[in-house]
Amino acid sequence: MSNSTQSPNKPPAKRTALGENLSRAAANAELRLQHCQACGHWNYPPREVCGECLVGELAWDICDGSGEVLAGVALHNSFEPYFAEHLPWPLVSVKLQAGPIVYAHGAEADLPAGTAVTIENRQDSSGAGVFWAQPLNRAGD
Amino acid sequence: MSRLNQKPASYEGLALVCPQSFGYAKSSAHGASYFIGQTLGHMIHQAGIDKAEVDGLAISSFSLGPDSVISLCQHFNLSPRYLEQLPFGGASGVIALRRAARAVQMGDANIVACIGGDTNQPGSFGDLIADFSTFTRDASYPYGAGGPNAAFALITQHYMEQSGATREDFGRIALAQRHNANHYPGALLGHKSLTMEQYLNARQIAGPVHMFDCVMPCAGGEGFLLMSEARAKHLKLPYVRLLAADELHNAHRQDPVQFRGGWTEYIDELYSRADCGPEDIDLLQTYDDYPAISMLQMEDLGFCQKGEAPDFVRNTELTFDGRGLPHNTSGGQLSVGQAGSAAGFLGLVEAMRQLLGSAGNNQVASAERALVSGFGMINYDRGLCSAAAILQTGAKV
Repeated sequence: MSNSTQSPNKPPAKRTALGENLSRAAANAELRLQHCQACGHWNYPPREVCGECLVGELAWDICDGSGEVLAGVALHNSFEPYFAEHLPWPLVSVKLQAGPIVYAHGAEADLPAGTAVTIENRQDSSGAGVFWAQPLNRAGD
Repeated sequence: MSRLNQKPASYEGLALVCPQSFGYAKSSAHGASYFIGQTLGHMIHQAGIDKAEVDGLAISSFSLGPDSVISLCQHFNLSPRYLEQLPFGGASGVIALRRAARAVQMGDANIVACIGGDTNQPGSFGDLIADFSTFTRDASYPYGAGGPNAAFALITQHYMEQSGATREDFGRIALAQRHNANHYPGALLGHKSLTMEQYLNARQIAGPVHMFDCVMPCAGGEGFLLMSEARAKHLKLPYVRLLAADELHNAHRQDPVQFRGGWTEYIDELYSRADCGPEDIDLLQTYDDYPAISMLQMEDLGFCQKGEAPDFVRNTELTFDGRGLPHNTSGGQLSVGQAGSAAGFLGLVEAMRQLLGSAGNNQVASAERALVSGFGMINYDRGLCSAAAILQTGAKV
């Protein structure tokens, strides 16, 4: 679903300067999130200071990708040409055991709430890092 | 600590006057200042005052950039002594009211024009959602979740699973609002009827969200003037009183999926300050960017228990003339259109018309007290702003 198209349209690559760190980690297929060096809190989406203790020392550490689907839907409409060509597109929100809530592409069409998943950080065809939610029984295939 | 925390002061002595809704259009070549300026012009004309008497501006707009509220002083040849800009989307109307109320009560301004206005040019909505916030840029837009549809689809899906709400329940809200819009000339979709069959068979947008759950982006302006009650009486203007208002942002942030808003934390106190309860409310204006969000508000504002809004809408007539709980009496954004930040003023301005008895064909019989709520700003996975105000008729025409 993600890379079979002949279309010139690619997924949106624009990120903030901090968000580029997600893409760099994706080049090594690593899930790296901002880990507060003062209080240990995992932060996502990317930000300048720890959302808990407001300290600025955040390290991009490898985070456990285990989590659970909070809600899953299929997108049938998108303003982005790349997604518009690939509808329906599965989108899930996932609560990581480490704390953060992430949006991710669904690796399968139907990932209902409560599904145990692993979040993987991979480069898309734009070279940007995006998260994929793999159902636990299929992760690491 | 509690002895250090003062109770909010009363809002007595204030008057909301001259509700205006201006220039709704599906798209416009004009800039935002056209809609803001024309709304202001009509309000001044309605009030019968000189432009120079407006000494405060409280403005909300997504499409005003690179200009801001200070730029508007030069555009409109005004010299105000009070300026406020409110980037709070669907909560901006109630928040503008709260800010302006204190400015007038404290004497920092005499007449504050509170206006939400936006244009809608080809491509402008796409530009707005592509770069709405740093969080959306990194964490939602790359997933195809551009704009609020996807975030609200996830919230709606979760709400349905938790409460048992069905699409028919959402349809009841949409249909009642279309009926209301059929009686409100300013509604962009007011000339069209909507049946449950059409609602259920509409094009799918994202998960449970279909075409008639989504608002139509458009251009337009909404506004009102805030002044002292004494000044309104002096000017012989019909006016509305503010009984109570509050706001809370990023509340319940531990909820994994948004299931309630900040209203729950202050609604009891809000009714207490207004000396009334939900049973005393003659009409309710919620921020209806998706019917499920209106249901959250019905619950959190005390019209029913949490998770019971599906039952509530099955058993309550929501039309302006149904003698149940008139809800979004001009059709709401779902049927009027979402004019950017003006949508955050739509319910408030409509409530004023109702309380002044000047609503026209969609007038609610004996409307004396209204509850208006605002909800706004999907910074990532949830709406952050919650605001609410209880208004009462002061003096009619």
